[in-house]
Amino acid sequence: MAMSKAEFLPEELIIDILYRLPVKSIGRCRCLSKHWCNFLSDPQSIKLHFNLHAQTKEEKLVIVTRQRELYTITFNHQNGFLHGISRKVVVLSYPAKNKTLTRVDIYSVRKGLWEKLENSPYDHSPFDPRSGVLVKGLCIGWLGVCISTNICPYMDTNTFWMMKEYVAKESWTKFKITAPGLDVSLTTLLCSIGDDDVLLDANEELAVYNMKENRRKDLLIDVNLFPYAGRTFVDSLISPYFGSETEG
Amino acid sequence: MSSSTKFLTLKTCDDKKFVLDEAIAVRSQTIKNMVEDDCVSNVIPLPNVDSKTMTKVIEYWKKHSEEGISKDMLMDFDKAFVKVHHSILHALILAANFLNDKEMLDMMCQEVVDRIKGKTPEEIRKEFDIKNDFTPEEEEEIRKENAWAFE
Repeated sequence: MAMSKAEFLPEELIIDILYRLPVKSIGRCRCLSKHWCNFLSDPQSIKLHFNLHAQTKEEKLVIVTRQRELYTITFNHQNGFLHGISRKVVVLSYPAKNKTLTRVDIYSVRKGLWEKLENSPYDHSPFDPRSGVLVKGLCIGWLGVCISTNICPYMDTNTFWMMKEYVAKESWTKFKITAPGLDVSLTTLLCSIGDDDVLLDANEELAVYNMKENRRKDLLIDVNLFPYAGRTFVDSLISPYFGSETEG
Repeated sequence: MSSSTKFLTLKTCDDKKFVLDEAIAVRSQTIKNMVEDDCVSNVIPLPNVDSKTMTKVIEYWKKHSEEGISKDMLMDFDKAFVKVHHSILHALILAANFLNDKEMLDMMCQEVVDRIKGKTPEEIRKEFDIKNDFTPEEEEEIRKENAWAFE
């Protein structure tokens, strides 16, 4: 097989480079040659990329607006402000839930169509604002599985619990929100950004709250969104088909 | 503070010798371990590194060991340092890996990432001399499967 010299880096170095690349670059690299296609389609590589890439500091959010539009927002810190870059994505199909069966519709980018995912092993009830965010919830497969992290499912009046490190019991942290003008009974914790800031869905308005200084902070965002529901997600090449396929 | 400067002699795979201040050479964790374990005789062999690559590595080490050099100056130096042909970049990554210089390895790997990010497969192939061994039909198929990556 024809390979360039660059393909003979030790595996641990290729992995080091791989995990720093965004999901889209991985997709493009699959189109380079047979060698790269096989390597980057291998379930092991995909899993590894996810595990390593998920540790990056960037926070991403998927928001459903009241107009039933779906946006993704990527947050980062710039000059002391929190910036959000938004991007409108495909129309959301609503997960329907009854007592016996959880049904989730998934948009497969690869196939270009919506499909039903029946008997999902996870609980998807993202539209009850008090239900909290369940781990690995909200499967919208337009880029893979959306997995929420860092978020606490419990909330009473104004006390939040947050799991700072995913699946690390000892990292549960308690904090209270006492900002004036924030109706905590209607507030949902969306995600943490950096060490001290949390993003809140405060009665259909996005708000940033600094836990250390105990105050609300400015959020600069390029569009005015009225969120109906929002959850965090991580770009991933893993398919929500739970093992039967590797890309969505 | 040590009163006398100690020198080490490094020998590359093409039998070239480099005499280097020990304080600089121990930027390599591999060399540092050898020095600490007292297994340094006269010459330290570097069987995985050629002289051309070692010259570049030493240039980097010396610059990063300069006293009083500003952060900005180092940043400019690093920026220029990584702008090399991919074959040299490749050799430098292997050398930094063997010498176990994490800082340098990290910088070189990041350069590879920056050369891939945002580029089309054609551009990446050209950058790294990767041969396209798909048939046109296979390529069309694989492009279709990964169409989401080209939005």
